[in-house]
Amino acid sequence: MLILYKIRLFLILILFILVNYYHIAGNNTLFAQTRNEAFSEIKIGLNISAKHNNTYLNDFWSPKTGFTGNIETPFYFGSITAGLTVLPFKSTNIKMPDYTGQLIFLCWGNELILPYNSSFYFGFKTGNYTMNFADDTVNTNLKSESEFAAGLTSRLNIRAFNNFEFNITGDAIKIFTKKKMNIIVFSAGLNYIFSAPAWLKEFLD
Amino acid sequence: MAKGIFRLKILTLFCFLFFQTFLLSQSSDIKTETQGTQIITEAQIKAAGIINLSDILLLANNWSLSTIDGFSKTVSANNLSSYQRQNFILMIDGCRYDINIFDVQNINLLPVSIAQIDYVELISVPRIVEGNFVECGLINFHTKAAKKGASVHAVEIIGNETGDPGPYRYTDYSTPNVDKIGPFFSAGVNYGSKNWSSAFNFKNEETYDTDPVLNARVLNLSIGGNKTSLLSGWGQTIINWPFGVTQFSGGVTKHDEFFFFKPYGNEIPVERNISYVGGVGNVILDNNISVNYAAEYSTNAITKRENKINFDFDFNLENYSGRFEGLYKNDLFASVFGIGIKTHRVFTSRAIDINKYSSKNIYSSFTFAPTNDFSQSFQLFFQKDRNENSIKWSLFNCWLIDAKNKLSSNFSYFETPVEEDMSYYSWTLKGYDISNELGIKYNIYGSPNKSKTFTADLSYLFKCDSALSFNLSGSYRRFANHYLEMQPYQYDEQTSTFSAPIDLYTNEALKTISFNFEIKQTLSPVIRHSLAFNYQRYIGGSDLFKEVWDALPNTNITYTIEYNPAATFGIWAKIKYLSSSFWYDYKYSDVQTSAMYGYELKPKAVFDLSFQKWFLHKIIWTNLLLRNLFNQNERYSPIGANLNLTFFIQAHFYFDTLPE
Repeated sequence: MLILYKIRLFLILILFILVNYYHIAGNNTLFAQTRNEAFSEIKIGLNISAKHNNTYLNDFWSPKTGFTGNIETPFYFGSITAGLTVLPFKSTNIKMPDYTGQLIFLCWGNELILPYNSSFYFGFKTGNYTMNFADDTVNTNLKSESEFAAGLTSRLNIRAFNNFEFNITGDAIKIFTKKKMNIIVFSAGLNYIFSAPAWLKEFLD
Repeated sequence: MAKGIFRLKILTLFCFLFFQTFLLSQSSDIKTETQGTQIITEAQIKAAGIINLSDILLLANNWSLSTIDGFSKTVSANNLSSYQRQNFILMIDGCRYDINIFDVQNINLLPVSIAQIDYVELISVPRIVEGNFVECGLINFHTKAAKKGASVHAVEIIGNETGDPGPYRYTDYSTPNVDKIGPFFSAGVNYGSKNWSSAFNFKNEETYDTDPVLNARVLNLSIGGNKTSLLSGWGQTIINWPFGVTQFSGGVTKHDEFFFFKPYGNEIPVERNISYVGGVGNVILDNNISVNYAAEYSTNAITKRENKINFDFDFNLENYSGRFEGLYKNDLFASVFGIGIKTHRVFTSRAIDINKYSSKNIYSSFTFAPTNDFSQSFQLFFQKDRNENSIKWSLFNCWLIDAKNKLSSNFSYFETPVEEDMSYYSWTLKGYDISNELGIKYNIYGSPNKSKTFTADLSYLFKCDSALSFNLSGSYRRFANHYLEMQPYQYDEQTSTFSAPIDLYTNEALKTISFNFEIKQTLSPVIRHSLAFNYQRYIGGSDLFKEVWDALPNTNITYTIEYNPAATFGIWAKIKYLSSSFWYDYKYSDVQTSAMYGYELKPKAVFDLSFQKWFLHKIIWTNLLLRNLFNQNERYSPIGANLNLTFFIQAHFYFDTLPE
């Protein structure tokens, strides 16, 4: 398993280097960032999200529908996203408390332009996964715990009308608790795109 | 007899200085040289996402380090010492901070913050610096010069080590919680004008000793949990006179921590307090002659923090020092002649035989540059301690072969009396004795004398062009008359603690060699990378010294790459390989704990990744550091924390143009 994990990380690194090579070499016409300079536009998205894979967690908690809110802008290469995913977990065992998982994330990726006003986005996601337990039997410090999380994300965007686009997103996230948690989250929702105001561009650049 | 020899040496020194004076009438250009000096700039520190002062050593190429809690470091600079002696020198802007206590120097006690650092100078060949003979390395933190007008800065850093139980704590997979790191907070204000400038800074750092291999041992004596807390304040005023510069500075630090006291074998909750106040400066008498002066006072205390055995080190060391140097330079040579005195006073309620002692030194440096391509420097340093005199010298040569090739060498010899050490053993000789209270037992074999060390360093630099350079270097060390402490610890499962009598062996000797190379290349305007390789091993000496030396990894390979696609954004990555090391003090605990506290630290390759981004015209700087990204087994001591994948987030705020 460890070898597979290392191979996976190695492949991700290769992918990262390749994408950068395209950027450095200037052969990036396939990629969407050629259309926009860094921080020139803002994309705000709101998605309905749900965990979909079956893990050891499912023996004790049943995942419920949550949401993801994010804000995205073109970066020096690719685009960068900051956002929050909230996923509630309902206990199936009276001994276990309910908890809500909140992933505050940063994501970097690149969009591949596809036909029919669509694009495919892929990237890396990293963040802090906070678990808030509805447990009144422990002291305040133990009611909340946070852990580093990282993974891959992919998204299909379809431009719908004016400045709106639909998206379907899939995230594979590893949460680095002592016993690792691998969660797969599917989301669907709407993005709104607009030009970045000058003050925001000034701040970010 | 000894006094007679010392006087003879003084006479020799004055003859040497007379020879210098004889040469005053000649002139040509002098080339400065810095072999064995590594400069780590603010840009490098920021790119690597360094979070505190001691972590800067992670960027040092030929410094080995060990750590138990992940924050305080034990170092060996360029193989100049084993981990047993921690006599490296710490400075802030040339002001010496004596914070070594019982061979522990926690660099983070220095009262400046990471945001104040302009560059760090790491010196790893023996030579005289600011009136000190550098035997085991020197770290000089240079703070940023205050900009004109008022400016403020603030820093917030948090970190989180992976490995928490998460929701599994309610299941059979429950594991201990790993607490967050930090917050580290610091803030400062500066004011600069034409003739003077001032800077003030406050620093607060909090950490938790939560690693399972550490936690139980720490909690054995701790009453107040596993949190450490550091508070620092620092101020500096620099006055530019028409005839020179004077710098006044002062700093204090209070650290509630868990002090690993090696003779005891475990951590003891303590309160550490250090303070410094001093003035250093120079007076330029004319284009060729100037004088340097320094007057410094510092305290270094280790006192009580609540603990289960009500133990108090009750040890407060005061140091007073003064230094005066005369410098003469012309186009052909430069010379320095200096004298210094340092007085130490110990305050403790325990009975102590010697609570006040002084050391005096007299030194000279002569740099001769007959041509533009060649320079030679000879430095001589005599020190008179309470009972013994010692001599130290270094000889440096630099040959600029052509515009691309440079060859330099450094040879040194130094004697170090036991009294100069800050080991617990050295203090027992002065009568400070806590052995009965902590159950420490010494078995001393032989009689310790002053140690003698000879070093030779050779360096070749080839600068192909502005984008590519190679540096090859090698070194030889010969240690003689060193004393070594072996402590074959036994592990007590009930209390999770270690104990062992200390076997102190004297007159131990060792010879070592090392080989290093470094390649730096700028691949494009936005990408640069470097590769550093260090190999060292012993080639002779006593078996005991070899065992102690085995704690230093033989091989160290570091590859670093930096990618800066924009002026306000950068990515930095480093992979570091360290070969295995062996800690024979823990050979029994290896068996007793089924290798949980094993005496061998396996080879490791650690990958760090850092992202930095400036915002708002470089007012806000942020960094995300992922340390040990592949979550490898990263331990630097058999009883130290396993530094799992950890992420750190930093935000710095720099307001450099406040209204007057």
